[in-house]
Amino acid sequence: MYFIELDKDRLLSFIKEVINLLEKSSTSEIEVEEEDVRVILRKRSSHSSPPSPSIPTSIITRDIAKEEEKPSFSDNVYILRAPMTGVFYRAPSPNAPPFVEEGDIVRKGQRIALLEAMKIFNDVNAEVTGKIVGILAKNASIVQEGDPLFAIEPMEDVL
Amino acid sequence: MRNPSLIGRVILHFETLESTQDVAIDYAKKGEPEGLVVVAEEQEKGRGRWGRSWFSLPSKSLTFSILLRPPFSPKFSPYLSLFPALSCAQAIEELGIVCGLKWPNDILIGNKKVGGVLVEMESRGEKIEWVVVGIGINVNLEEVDFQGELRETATSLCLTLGKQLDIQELLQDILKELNEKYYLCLSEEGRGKIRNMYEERDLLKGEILEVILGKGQTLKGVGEGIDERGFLRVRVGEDIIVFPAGDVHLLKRENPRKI
Repeated sequence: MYFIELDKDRLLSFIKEVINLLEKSSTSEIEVEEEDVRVILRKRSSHSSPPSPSIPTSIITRDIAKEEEKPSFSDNVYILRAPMTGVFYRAPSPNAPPFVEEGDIVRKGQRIALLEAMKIFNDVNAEVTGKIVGILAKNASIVQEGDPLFAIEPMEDVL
Repeated sequence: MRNPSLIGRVILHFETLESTQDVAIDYAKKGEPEGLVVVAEEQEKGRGRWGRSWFSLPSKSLTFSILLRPPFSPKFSPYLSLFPALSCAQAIEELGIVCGLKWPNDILIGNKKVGGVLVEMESRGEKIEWVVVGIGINVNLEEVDFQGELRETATSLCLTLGKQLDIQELLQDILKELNEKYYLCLSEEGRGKIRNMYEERDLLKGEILEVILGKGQTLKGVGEGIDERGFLRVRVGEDIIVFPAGDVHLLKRENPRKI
């Protein structure tokens, strides 16, 4: 998990800065990115209605898949995104080799990763046939719904 | 409105199977409609999370899998992890036993595990193709049946009640609850009800926890219930960290104890 891999002092001062920004702002939610960290803070709603639990402050720190923002892939590269929030696993078990590596050719429908949320393991299958040109999320990291996971260069025909 | 007895419209009963999950997944891939239940009196290779084995004994454990094809986005799939555990807990409570839930879907009596749930799913984009929910309940296991560390961590309904139970009757009771709760999962209002019922039985709320996510990735904090997605909320200082997955250990004093 990223929050223990990060420099704690740096993270804390970053969060404090974001809290200051939020306090001064009239908005109820703020999202700030710095290098590889993204912090999302929400103000406690004064009239939120139960039973939905009100979250005083929700903090999610995680690696940002910078590759998505960078124009490092050509337009024809297919970006496969997370269908749900969960933990991204590149291998079927902790000691097994990864399903795929960069440069591998994959077929449409082939399992190339797993996403786990609450003990539910969801196969992540290649949505196109092609070559893996980027693995955009880190193994055993939390990815949010819609985050890019793989960049695949489509190939029309594979032997 | 859905058929109230959708789950269990077809029940395949086997004396011995390697895994009810594997059979139900085979049916799922062949296009079997939702509601199929696969029951085995004896499971030779019962599976848990990450392929961990699930201990069961013939005629003493209830092990079954159900096939579902929920008509919602994978983002609601965490409820497919909550509702089976909640259903089992409520069926067990009907027997007069107080039980609780350890996120996401362990069923406990006191501090000992009496049942567990494993969910496997395949989705394509926004569509869930199939979900197979595996459920294991320790029904008539006696003290002598639990070996090694299981003696400290596991229990059975029979040990709690002091009498043997009819496994098939319990299955019917659980199926009734599963049908009701599955229907609730399909609407926002229903999912709110699931959360409320879950939180009433949440054993982690207010407790000091350790969450482990992969090798060496550990966080300590206090359980703060679940969020609207069903994810675990943990308070660390003034902050709430939300976990979509992870192994949770309840910390008692200085001694971590996995429950």
